[in-house]
Amino acid sequence: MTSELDIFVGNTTLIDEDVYRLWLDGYSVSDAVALRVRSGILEQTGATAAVLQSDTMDHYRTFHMLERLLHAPPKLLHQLIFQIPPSRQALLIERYYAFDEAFVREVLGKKLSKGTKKDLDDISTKTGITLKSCRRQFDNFKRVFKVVEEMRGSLVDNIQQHFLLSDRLSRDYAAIVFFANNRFETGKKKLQYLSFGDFAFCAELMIQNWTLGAVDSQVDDMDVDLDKEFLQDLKELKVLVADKDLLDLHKSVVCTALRGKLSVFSEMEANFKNLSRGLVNVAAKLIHNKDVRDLFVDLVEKFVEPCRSDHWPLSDVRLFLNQYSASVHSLDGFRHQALWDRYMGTLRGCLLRLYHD
Amino acid sequence: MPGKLKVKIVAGRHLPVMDRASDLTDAFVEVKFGNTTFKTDVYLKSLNPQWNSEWFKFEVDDEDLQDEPLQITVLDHDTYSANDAIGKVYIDIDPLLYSEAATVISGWFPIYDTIHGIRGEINVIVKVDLFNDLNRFRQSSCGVKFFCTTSIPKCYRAVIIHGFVEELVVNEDPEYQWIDRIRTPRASNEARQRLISLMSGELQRKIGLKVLEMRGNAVVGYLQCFDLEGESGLVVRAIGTACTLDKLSSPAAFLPACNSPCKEMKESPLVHPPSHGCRSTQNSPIHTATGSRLTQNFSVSVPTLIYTGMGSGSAGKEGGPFKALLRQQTQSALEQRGGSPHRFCKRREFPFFTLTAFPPGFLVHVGGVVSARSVKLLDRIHNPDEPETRDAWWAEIRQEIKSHAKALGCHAVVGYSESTSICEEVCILSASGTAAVLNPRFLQDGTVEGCLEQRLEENLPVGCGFCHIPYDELNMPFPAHLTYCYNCRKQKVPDVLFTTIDLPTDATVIGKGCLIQARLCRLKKKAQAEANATAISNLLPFMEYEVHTQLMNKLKLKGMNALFGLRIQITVGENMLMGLASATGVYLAALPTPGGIQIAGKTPNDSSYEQHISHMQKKINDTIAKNKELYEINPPETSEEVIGSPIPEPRQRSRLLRSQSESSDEVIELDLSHGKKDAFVLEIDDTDAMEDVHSLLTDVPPPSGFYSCNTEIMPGINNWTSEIQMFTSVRVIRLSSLNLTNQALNKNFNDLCENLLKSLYFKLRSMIPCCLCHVNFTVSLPEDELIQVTVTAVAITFDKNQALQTTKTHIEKSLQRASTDNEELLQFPLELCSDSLPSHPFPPAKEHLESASSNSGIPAAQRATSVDYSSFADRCSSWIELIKLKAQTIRRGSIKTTVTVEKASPMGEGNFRNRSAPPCANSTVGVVKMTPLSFIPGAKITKYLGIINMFFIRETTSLREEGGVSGFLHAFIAEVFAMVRAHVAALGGNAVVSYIMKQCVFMENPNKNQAQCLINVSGDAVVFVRESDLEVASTQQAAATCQPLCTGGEVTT
Repeated sequence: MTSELDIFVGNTTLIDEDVYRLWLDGYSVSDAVALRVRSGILEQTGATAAVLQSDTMDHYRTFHMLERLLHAPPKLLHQLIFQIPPSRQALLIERYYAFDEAFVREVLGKKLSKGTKKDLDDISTKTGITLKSCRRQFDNFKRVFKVVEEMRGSLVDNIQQHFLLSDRLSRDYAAIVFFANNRFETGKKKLQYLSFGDFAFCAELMIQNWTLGAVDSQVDDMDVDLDKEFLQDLKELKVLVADKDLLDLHKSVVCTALRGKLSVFSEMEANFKNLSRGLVNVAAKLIHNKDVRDLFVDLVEKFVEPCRSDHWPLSDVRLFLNQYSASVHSLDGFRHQALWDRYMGTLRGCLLRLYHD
Repeated sequence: MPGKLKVKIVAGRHLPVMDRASDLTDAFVEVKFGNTTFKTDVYLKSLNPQWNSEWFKFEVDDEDLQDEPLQITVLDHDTYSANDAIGKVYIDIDPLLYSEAATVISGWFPIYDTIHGIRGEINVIVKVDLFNDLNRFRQSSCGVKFFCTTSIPKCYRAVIIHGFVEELVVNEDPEYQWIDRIRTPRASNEARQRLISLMSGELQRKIGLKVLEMRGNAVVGYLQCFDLEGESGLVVRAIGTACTLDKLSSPAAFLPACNSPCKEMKESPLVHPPSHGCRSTQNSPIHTATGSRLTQNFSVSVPTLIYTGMGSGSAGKEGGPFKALLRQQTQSALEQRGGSPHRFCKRREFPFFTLTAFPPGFLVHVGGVVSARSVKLLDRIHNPDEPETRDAWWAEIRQEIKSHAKALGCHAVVGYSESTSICEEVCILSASGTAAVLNPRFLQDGTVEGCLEQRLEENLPVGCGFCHIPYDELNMPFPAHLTYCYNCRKQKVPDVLFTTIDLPTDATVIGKGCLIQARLCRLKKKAQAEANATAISNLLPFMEYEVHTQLMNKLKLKGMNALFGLRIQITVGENMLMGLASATGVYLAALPTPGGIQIAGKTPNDSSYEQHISHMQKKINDTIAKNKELYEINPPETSEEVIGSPIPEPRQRSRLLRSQSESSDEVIELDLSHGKKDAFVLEIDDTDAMEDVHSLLTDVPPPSGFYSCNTEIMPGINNWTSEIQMFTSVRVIRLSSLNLTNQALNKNFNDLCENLLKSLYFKLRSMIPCCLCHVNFTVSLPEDELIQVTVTAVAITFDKNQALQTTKTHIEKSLQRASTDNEELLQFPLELCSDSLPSHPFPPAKEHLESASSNSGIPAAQRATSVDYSSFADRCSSWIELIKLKAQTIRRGSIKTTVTVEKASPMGEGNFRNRSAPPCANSTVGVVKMTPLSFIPGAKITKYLGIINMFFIRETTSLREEGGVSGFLHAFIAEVFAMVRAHVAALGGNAVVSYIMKQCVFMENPNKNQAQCLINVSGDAVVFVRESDLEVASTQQAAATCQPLCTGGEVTT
């Protein structure tokens, strides 16, 4: 006796959250059944393995049919084939677009192209996430990217509107899209200590302050691309380190203000010029795409690592950065205050977030 | 021109990409009705076209309006080649043809293609202007309402129940060999869908004409089926019950339906609630056997079993002569009407009713399940213009049913249904129903003398009357085992009851019920034509007998004594016959405690064998004990509690009566009290019998928190909450063709069904505590080694604790209220009676209360309690006391008790009507509930929008790509649900009740990567309103209702 056909169709589509998770995680039906058996469900319900198998198959089939709709979540809301309560629809979408931290760290800032897709095998091996799940996550990134890439308006809003994601997840996707578009390098060894959250935080700051959308909300690609003009102008900041007097003046203003307030005052004093040079040079180089990509590498190399090697506490870093950016206003010879604030305001936020072990 | 049909095509959305180059579609729409076609403009390059067309107007006969579907085709315009079809929508405009139903059809319909499934949606508006043209000789029957519901629909009151209507139409099947056809599969499927749609329309119109001839205005319990006879053609046949229905004046007037799926009783003039029963015993003999006869087309009539009682007893004191009188009268009522020249003559021939639940008092006694089967050879040459052969076949079967009913002392058959099973050229026609004695009052227009009515009512204590035997004890056509009724002690009852109807709402039931199934396979040699038919008809009686035995065994094993909703399906395949019987077992308080099952061996000398037997015996006894506990079947003697426990009364009563009966009638009483004598003896003298015993014990009870039944309501559960989940599950297994034996086959089939049930329990575990209601199994044998089982049911959650808690609190409140209310209540029925039905005097107050309680949505068990009180209260002879008790039960039965009471009386109704439009608008838009039941828990139905009857074909030539057979069928069934929901929503409805999947024919050819499936579904589209939405208004209302009693009454009557 073999089962040829075995289906269950409810007027309201049954969604089993546990099975959905297994499906999203890319387990095959048999693996999923095995995992469910291990969860002790048979004992709880008195069901048999055959029942579990049939149930899992059914759910997988349903999810498979739903997947097409999940690719365009508004479709899921308007379709007539599956009657699903709104809360369940939201859950389906949110979970489908959720991603693994380990995975996103691997692809963050990479071009979402076929080439990267080929590397998914390696990512899967490296992270222990099934290839199927990697593909889903990658395709989600790519799909969202494609849809919002050329769109006007706020990146987060666009994502939310076209994919019906929660605010939190929309922000994450905005970061992913932003990183993918600007191809920030995040995979270097010295960046490994950073989490997706760190990058997402920085992305949000940069989107808010450094993109075209930050100054003009009527431009295409406003939130996705950095403001070229702004990057161009950043060269002007170079004067802060190129002009020796200005640099010394800057240093003395900062040191005066911070004397006695920092536990690492002497180290700061000794390193001030290096740190300042690092930060300003980063700004000045951002006109080249290559250097934009290396932004995080540079920040870590030029600022985070030196401070860390001197064991600066975070509070000192904060005090320093505040003072460092603020004191530029008292430098009489410096004319690019607004530019400096736009640059340093964001950078300060980023650096504070990046500064940890 | 009696009608103008107007159609507007508004827009489309989610259309498929038809032009690969642009990834877009240039869509336009053809609107076709009859032979007229209109087209919209082409909407270029869009997947969401906005046609916003003009109104297309079709001027048509109302006959065509009834027969033809509106056909909407969406196409992709192509400049260079032929336009590609995207898909179609068929809209049945019948609901627009009667005044009270929908006035407009407007909404998004899935665009369906038989090859690709649903491909986007289209927004359509349809209206009909009907002109009255009464002078013409009518071929149309516009205005006759159709209901699938097998009880009187909630917003209506039955004035007269006329009786049986049937019709069939035949045609050639446009496609009888789907695999080797010449035209494209799409064209052939569409021709078929269209033909069936036409035929259903025609059939419905013809039935409507018959109803009009009978002076009815509605068909209730309408069941339409297709017989795909292959080469010999396509038969569409339908049966139903013609009624004259009155719409209840106010939409808010009828009761909260949450607990009582049954009828509207408030306005009914009847005294006692409906009752039904039938009897059966283990060794019920074959009652009649019609011999085989050969006609021009081969046919074998199969000996038929009537499940009846056995044993003998003395005549009841006043039962005999009275029953004879009653019978005579009803018979004459039936014949009188049939004989009238204006009425349809077939009605007299077949006093059948497709209803399974009845207005109170309609059903007096039940004689037993009657069934008839006949094996026919389908004629090869087919003449569509002469359906006489098929008509004659069915007439024969019905005649047989009628004579069986007569033999049981009954003149009518209720819960009647017909079915077929076809394999190649052999066809088994089956009909079954429950023989019954009906109250003539409903059957004719007020000519019955009142005295009989009164006698009737006095003689039949409510709650057990239907169990009393209808036949003459002295002159029984079969041996029956009778005892005095455990409830009233006045009339005789059989020891076991089998019926095809729903459990009467007033039946006194102890504990809960459960689904009981008998499953059976028999191998059969492959044969041709006559030889095949003969072989099948030879097997049938044995199958029926075995199915019956199994049912009996399982019933006893559950410790129960009655079956309701019995449905026996015999399916014929190439090399086997399958029998599947489903029913809901209950313990009726009126019937004796069932005896146990005893096992006996034939070789008693072998000690190990005896040990084995005693082991088995112990297992069986344990199972019975366990089941009694599981289903809360407490022996009546144990508990002391009277009020507060759900079934308090029977205990006390039976104790009282026991002592009484010991003096008067001890012989019978003693015999039954400990069941040893009638214990069922199973002889396990061969392996077959061993199998039987094993299979008895392998049926696993549902996991805790789950109950199941195949009737509308589950006895013992009444506090339904509003969550429902209707589902369809299909399984096909392939038998290994080697060494197939009957036992192996039985085991496979049994496992299939059991596993299916287990899967359902597992899937629905999140709904616990819940009950699977209306579990409907269908078996088919699509190929040699394939068995297909299709199950449709609804899972309904209930609140475990609520009943217990509310009981106490409500009693106190209700006692207060009852004392203030009862005087008013007492006055009232006289008024009602004189207003509405002057020709039927009946004892006033008691009846009204009775109807009030049954009206109020109190489920069986609790209402039954009230019934018991009446017999008990007679002793106390305190009228007020009785009323209090009744009011109490009313309160206990539902949460919104105040409202319930008000609504049960017309004054409440009057007030409700004053309150304007019901808050329909509040109901969530978009969600459409589907249920096989006639009600929606926690809600009340405010409007019936018309019948939904849809037929779909889906075919694929890329089976693997669509996920194999499971993926294909899963998607198709989901699409069918979607299309049903869309049509209901377009009619303005939010639910389908009495939903049924009548056919699911699945064929596959994996080698060719092909599959095809045909599905036919039907149901009633309705508008319902959540009770919680009404709650506030009603409670306010309730406070005000006490005063204006008389005026209220006048408003309604």
